[in-house]
Amino acid sequence: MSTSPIQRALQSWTTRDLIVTAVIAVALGLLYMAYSGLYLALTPILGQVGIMLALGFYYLVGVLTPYIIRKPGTALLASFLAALTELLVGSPFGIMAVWAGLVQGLGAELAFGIRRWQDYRLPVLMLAAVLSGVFAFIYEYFLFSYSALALPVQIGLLLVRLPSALVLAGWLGKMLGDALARTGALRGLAISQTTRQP
Amino acid sequence: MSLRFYREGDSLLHRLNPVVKLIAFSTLMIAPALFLNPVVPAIFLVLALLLGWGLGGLMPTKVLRALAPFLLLAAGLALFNTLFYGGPRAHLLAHLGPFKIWREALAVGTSIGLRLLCFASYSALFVWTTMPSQLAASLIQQVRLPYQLAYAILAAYRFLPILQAELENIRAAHRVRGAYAERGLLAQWEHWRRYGVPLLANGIRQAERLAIAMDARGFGALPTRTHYVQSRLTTHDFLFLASSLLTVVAILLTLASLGLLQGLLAGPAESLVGGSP
Repeated sequence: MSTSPIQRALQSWTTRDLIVTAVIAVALGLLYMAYSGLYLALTPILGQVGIMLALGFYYLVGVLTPYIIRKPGTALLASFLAALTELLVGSPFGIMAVWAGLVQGLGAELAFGIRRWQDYRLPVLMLAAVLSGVFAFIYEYFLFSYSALALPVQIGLLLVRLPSALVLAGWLGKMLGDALARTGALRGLAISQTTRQP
Repeated sequence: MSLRFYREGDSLLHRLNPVVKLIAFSTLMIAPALFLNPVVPAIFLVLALLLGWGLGGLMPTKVLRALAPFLLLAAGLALFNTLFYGGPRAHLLAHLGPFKIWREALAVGTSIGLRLLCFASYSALFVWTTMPSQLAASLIQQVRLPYQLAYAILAAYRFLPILQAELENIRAAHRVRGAYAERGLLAQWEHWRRYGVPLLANGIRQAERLAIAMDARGFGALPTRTHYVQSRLTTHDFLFLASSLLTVVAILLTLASLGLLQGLLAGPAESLVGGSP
């Protein structure tokens, strides 16, 4: 078998990078499944637009994992794995979530790619979260025919999720990453190597 | 454990290659999303029930029960799309407070609500008939995903029970120090912060040990490896995929010839609807 582009990209990854990515993704995937139940229950109360305020949490995995691992492809891989976990543990959103995970991961990956996978400061994390949201919106736009809605509602569906992405994915991703680094569990991973230097 | 949603079985759906099944089901799921006509998702929903029954040995009542949690969301989605419909309209049905209910809006709303049930039913069929290890094997052997990635997924699944036990430990540690979960949003946030960080940190520590063990056994040293679980494509897989695609085409052609698709295409063609009365 010839080496694929994915395989070449993987050469800079250690086994530990891979397993840690997978563990974070699976842990968050589990959490997402529980969260999806909550999401289903809250939608009738908050409404279709209001519930978008909860959407940012789904973009967390695509921000937190690359913040820790800092290798090209982490956002995409982690986001996809978390969605795959959701499918396999029986999330209500299932196959829909798998493709959504892939699309959201692509959005986040784009943000890190713009900075050549070198910059993991808060503004970049926030950009990753926002692009996840925008990409997810495009996906939903086709899946749920947002085109049939009145234009102000369409804009609402896009805009309402953005503050949520900033807080529940961008800011929370940084907070969680830093908190994990303080426990010492991330020693030897990329996040600790850079934060040690003042 | 993660496998609890998988139902043992030896039906045709169980024996299908997981990736082929994922592609076929995704096609069947997404086809209704191209149309704003409520008839299309209704037909694909019935098809899902028949598919599960005939080829998966799953009673339709069971699939319908799995859809129950979605009914409220589907109804909400239908109502939302009916009220905030922005497309062309011609037939006024009723007034609902400040909203006017148009026949076109009701059709589109119903279509999108049914669409959600359609997505959910194919997802349920997939999860019930697919073993995670088979899916991973198929991702490596058919999609040619590097085995390092797929093994990382499988390894992480092994963590599910460990993470659960870990959660119990953390809970016990909090109890013994007199910390209980309180009510209220802020208390909940504090609760999750206290549990989430140690849980993830412990998972990551376990991951490190696992990675060392895998490295010591030479994992990832070679570009290819041999497989214990073999995943193959059989004629059944090709037949299933081909007949799924043909079914989609046949259903859409039949509907088109009955005139049921006219003027209800979603997407760019939607602007065409404006011309029809």
